[in-house]
Amino acid sequence: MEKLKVLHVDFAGCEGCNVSIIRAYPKLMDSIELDISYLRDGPPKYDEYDVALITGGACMNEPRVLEELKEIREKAKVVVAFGSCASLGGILRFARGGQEPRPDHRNFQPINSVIPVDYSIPGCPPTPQMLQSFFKFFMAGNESRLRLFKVTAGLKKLSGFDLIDDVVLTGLCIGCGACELSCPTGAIRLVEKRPTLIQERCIRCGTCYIRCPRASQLICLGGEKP
Amino acid sequence: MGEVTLDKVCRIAGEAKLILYEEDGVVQDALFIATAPVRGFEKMVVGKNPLFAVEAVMRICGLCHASHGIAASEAIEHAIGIAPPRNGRLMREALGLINRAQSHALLFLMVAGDLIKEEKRNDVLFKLMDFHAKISDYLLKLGGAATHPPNLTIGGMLSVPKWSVFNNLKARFKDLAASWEAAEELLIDEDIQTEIADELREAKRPFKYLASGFFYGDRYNIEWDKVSSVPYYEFRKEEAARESTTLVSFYSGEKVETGPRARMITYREFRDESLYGLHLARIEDTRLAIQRLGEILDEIRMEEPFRAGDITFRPGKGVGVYEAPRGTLIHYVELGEEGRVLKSRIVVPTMFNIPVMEEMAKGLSVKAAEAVMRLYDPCIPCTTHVVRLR
Repeated sequence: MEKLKVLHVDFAGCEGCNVSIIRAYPKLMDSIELDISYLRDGPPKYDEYDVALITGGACMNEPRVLEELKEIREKAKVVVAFGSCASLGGILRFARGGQEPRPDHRNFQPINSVIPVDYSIPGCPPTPQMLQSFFKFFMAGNESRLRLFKVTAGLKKLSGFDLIDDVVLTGLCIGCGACELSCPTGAIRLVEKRPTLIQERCIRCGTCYIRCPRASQLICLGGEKP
Repeated sequence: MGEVTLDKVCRIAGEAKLILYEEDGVVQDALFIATAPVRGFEKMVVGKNPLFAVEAVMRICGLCHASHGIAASEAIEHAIGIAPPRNGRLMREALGLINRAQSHALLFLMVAGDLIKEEKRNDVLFKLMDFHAKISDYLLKLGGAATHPPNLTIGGMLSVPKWSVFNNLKARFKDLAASWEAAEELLIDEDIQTEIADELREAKRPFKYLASGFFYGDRYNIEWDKVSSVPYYEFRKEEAARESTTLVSFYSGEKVETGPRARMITYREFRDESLYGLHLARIEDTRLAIQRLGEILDEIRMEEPFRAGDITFRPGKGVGVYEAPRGTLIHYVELGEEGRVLKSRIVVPTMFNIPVMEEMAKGLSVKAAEAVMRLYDPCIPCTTHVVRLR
């Protein structure tokens, strides 16, 4: 079987997601050919790719970034937003500009605000295993397993606040603790078997929402998030 | 004079452009222009709770996450007048050293393309990935995640791994050290190196160094008032420099090199001042970091506290200095009413190193000059998120 051609592009990311991708690569080598700036010598090798992995958020004040994103959309059959900045905005939702030497860089958006995205994998950063299983299901054409990533690609924000609103306050929470375990900043603590949000720690990465068995069921079955 | 422009320098952390001016194949001058958008973390944390500030600055960089977390925590602790207990301090040192080894491993992977012959590159890559996976697991167990460790916080450790985790990590330590040795052996093997490595070995370039400590960092070894920063386009007047989104820094108004070579020369008997020495110093730095990590695991006393009690945020000013993988990292913070962040300033090692990198490229061949940029391990995500000092 021919290897999938995968391009990785980073925009204003912190490199954490890139490290996750490169860590996932040894186990994926047999099935995909990854074109990542960490390993190559020049510009991207091919004109067309099967999958483009995008990390980092789009700086709306930098026209170059928006143009490049549109080019990638044309080059790649499938676009995957990898990590919270690319898929939901994450920490970049807090950016407010005003900083030298470029005070005009004020507004960062998730990738799906600029181009259509096929799958989103939130996490800060998502683990290498997430990417490995994504490709496993993707190559097997297992759409039901990819449904959560597909639905998330249509969302522009998710955070601990949404988890509390949609799952805890509606009485759907079963107290499993998946949110507490998955939170990358320790912003969720279980008190009396129900999650409590430590607001000042939440960075809006959406990991808890995706990991919550109830919340993920909600968005997958109901289609759209209210 | 010829001009060589690389629009996107490969195998570095982040987006940057490199312009080399050469004559007969010898580089006369270099411009290193970072082009990543500015996310503005120093503005982002203003008005926020210090706990958010620590979580946020860790996300400046996915390669030196723990370093930013440590420096920011140190600065805030300095401002409110507390210090972590013995265990907390040791654990913090351990997280920082794991981070150092992680970051160096990734750099070795990126410079392998320059220094190591093509047929041997994959060997090196697999050995380094194996080591990286093992060391990342240590950060996962001790810090709570393999990137951006959430256990690192103001006053010490947010949650403490069970004693069985420590025992498990101690038992696996030999395996970790062996994995590093296997990679190290290939990295220093001169038989499999390229001509670029030979050229760098010949280029002796002693410079002024800046280091504040060996394993940790010390705010009393740095004078905050002597650090000055200017936007890159004011430092280099060339038209092309306008695109740059970075600042560059000087210590006492002078260009200083910071990083593993500065640390090794200041605090250890390391005297190789060639550009290849930078690579050797980084290898040595990694080896010692792993060794020290082993010691720390033995020194933790489970019955003692890991976090300072009675943490109250209040107005104050503080400086945190930490020896990040790439050199001296400085965080300055001012807390205002209710202990919220009033002002934040961050000076990262790459800001000191960019002028040095450009200096070092002079007199080398074009290929070697490009390799030197990589050898200094410029971290663009860090560099483009810092503000001008007034």
